[in-house]
Amino acid sequence: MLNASVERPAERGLIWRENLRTLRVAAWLGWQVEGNWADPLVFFIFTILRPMATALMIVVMYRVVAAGAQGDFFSYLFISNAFFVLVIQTLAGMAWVILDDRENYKMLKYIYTSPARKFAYLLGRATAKVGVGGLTTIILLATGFLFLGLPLHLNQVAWGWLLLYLVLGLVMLAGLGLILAGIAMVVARHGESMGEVVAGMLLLFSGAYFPPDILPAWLRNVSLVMPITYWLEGMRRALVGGILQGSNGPISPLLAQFDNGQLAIILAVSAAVSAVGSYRFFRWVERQAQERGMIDRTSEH
Amino acid sequence: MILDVRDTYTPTGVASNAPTSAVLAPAGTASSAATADLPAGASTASSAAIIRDPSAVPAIRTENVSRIYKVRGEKKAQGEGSKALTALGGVTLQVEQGELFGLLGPNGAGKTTLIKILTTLLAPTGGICYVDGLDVVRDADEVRRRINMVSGGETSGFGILTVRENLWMFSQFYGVPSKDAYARIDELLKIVELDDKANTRVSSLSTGQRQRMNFCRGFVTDPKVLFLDEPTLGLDVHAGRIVRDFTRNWMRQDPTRTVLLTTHYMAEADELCDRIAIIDHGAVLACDTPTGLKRMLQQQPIFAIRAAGIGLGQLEALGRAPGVQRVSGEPDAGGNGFLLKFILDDEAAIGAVVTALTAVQGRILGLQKEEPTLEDVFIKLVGRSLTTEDGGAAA
Amino acid sequence: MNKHTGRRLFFDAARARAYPRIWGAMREPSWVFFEIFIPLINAAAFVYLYRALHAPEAYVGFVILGATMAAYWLNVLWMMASQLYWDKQSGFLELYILSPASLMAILFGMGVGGMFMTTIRAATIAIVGTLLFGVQLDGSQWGLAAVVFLVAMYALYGLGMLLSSVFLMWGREAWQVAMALTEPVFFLTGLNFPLSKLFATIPAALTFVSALVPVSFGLDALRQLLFPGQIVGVLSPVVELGILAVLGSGFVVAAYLMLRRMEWLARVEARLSLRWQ
Repeated sequence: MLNASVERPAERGLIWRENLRTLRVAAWLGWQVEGNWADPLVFFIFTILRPMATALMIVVMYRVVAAGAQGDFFSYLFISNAFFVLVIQTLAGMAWVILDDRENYKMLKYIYTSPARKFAYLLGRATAKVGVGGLTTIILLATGFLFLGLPLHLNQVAWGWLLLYLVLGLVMLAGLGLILAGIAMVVARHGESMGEVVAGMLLLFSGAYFPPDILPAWLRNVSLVMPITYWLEGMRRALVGGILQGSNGPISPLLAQFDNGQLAIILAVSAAVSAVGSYRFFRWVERQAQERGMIDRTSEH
Repeated sequence: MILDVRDTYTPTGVASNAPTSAVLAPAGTASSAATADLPAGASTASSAAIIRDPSAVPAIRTENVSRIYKVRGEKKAQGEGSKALTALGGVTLQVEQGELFGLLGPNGAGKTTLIKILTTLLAPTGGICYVDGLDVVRDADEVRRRINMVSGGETSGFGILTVRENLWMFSQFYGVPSKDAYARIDELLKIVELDDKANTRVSSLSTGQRQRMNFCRGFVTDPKVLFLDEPTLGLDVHAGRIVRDFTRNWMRQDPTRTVLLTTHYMAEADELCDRIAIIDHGAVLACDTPTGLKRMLQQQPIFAIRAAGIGLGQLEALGRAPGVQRVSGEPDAGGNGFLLKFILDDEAAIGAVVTALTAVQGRILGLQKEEPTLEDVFIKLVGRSLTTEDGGAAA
Repeated sequence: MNKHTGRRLFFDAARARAYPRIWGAMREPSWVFFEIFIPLINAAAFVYLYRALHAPEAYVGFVILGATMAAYWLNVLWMMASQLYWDKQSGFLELYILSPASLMAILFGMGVGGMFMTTIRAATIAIVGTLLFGVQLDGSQWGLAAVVFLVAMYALYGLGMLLSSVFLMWGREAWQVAMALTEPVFFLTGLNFPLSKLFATIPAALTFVSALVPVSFGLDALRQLLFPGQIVGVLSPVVELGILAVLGSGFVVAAYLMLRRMEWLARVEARLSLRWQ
């Protein structure tokens, strides 16, 4: 039997090893699940065609009104939409892991009865979704640049800010995704619709399609407390190398008040709060799920 | 009756293609002499006084039916043709009206494939099948009016609807007038002891309750030919008994009703079926009444030996002892040694068995001669018991 | 027992299959939130986009009308076209095929039930959206608009029946293709913008594909009737109505033929019982 003083370091090391192992295996599983398509064509349709159709739809909406002009608003719209795909894939993707494993594969109960680290499992499973989302974003931006007149110039990109915002944003999104996954764990029937509700709310409030300045005052405040609003603004600025301008000044005067540093601080705080908060929330939700027998319950709908 | 038997087994004293008396004569006459051989308390459906009309069209008739699947996604070695899996290889059977016919076989034997073909869900790749005189391929629509199927372990149902509503909905797909349907549903639910759940949403039912509901679905439409694919799978003892009793009574009410039952449970087949076909690897190995099948083995004595100090590894050596036709074994349920079952050429061979056991360092804890059971027949024909896949072994 | 056959059986089966759609949905009041709130939120995003672009106010009306039609398209895609695939997953498909009721009757029932429930949702979206965003409609041609709407539904649900027979043969790919047909169809049918503007932008082959989806001409005709003078249509509403009628009839006939063929093929290739994975 190990005595207490020897046990603790070994146990900590063991936990880390288990976390890494779970993360690795779950990531592999995630790629297998995402890539389990009978036909690569179907993968292409799902990963590229669908987001492309949405992008084209908003491009046509823009051109119908703007009569072909390609001002900064076009950049605002197109870049936001491209990164919005990554937002939704990450957020909804983590909730989908719970729903898929519980409802479709009916394997969640076995994951839970195993020594696999659940947090690491979720993160690992979600990496494929984030990867696919990232790939889609890149393809959309490239398509916009090559075929739709999106004014992107590599020498104008603020790479440092781009990388910083990207890392902070992914941590923040992963945390929010974990919160959604926790909610999915205890919601029986409407887990699948939850992702759509979140996507819809974000579309309206995150400044993805239009500056939050357009919203009525009471809705504008909702927009300003959402970290994703700042993240999208940061990504837009980093890609075009500055604040996007309309005919009478910044497209979003509200967001233009924040300089890059302030945006980075907001995102860093959001990422920290989201990471710690989501971990605690998820642990609490797991206990709730165990008490209510939700880990292996299917919803019948 | 025509049967297709593998060359591996030739029953002594029984012509392989002789019609069994159970097909043509009133049930009960052929088996009444045989019932004396059965364990006390056992009964067969044949003991009911059902008179069958020998001129009636057979309920089910198959002629050399086969089903071969092409295996997809397999990497082919150079020069190798595409892989095929033979689920059924030329099965010829005939089930008369009013029979409760059993199909017994291990997993993957072809039972469900045959049922799917007969119920028009699957097309055969060869041969021809008739249900109530109708070709299942050409006259599928007409066949469907006369049949129904219940798969055991089935828990599907519209969760949002009540039990009654689910059953009513399916009755409408068969054109059962609503008034008749509701009356039958209430009657059936009472029999399977689900009447207190009639207005409960299916999503609130337990698995067993859903299975009982699905069992009722098969009878609501009053089919002429009913296919029961492992109907008691997953049901508790009491529910299983209800299902068996109900099936038997349902058949007694109308001599033109026919049931084709597949099951894993020997006792169930023995209890319910007029005749049983044992199927393995897509072929029918034997087809007779339960008594007739057991009689195949009465020439060969069966000995059960409880032995210590041996394991699965010694079975092959024991099987080579002179006079041993088959040996199977599994750990004794009491945890006290190994339970071996020997089918011998004759009683005298028991001496060689004891010698062989001693030679492999076995200690005999108990020895008794047994009457053949359906399971013994199965082991004899298939080479393993139905529980072999789980933990036992055979040689 | 004297069982119904022929036409009586067809309507018995259709009525029975519509039953869970209608009454089942009534028992789950959560749809009020999810199936009205979500489309309204999405529509609001596009309304605010148009307002940010200073588009004419009629475009707000186009978006609300588009959201209304989107509800029907999603119902057709998920609750009809994909339904037989889900039924295959759950084991119901075997039970349907085993019964003497035709699959057309089953699908017809699904369609009627789905349309009934979707109409409640769509009407709510239309009314709430119109009031919330102050959409000004012209009601002088309500009669023709109602006829266009009904014929568009006939064509749309006919297409749903046709797609269901195709999806019957597919495994997991069917679900993926259904997902793939969501946004691309939103784009190709001009859900949020005038169809004529789209047709001026895309290749001719795609305009043909767009025309095959009843939402395109249905929406275009309705917009011309409800917002006269504020939109340039592809064709006149009456011509578009005729096209929809022809499309609908063609889809229904094709669905019947395809269903029989697909059912046969499914039996031969043993695809009726495939479960997930």
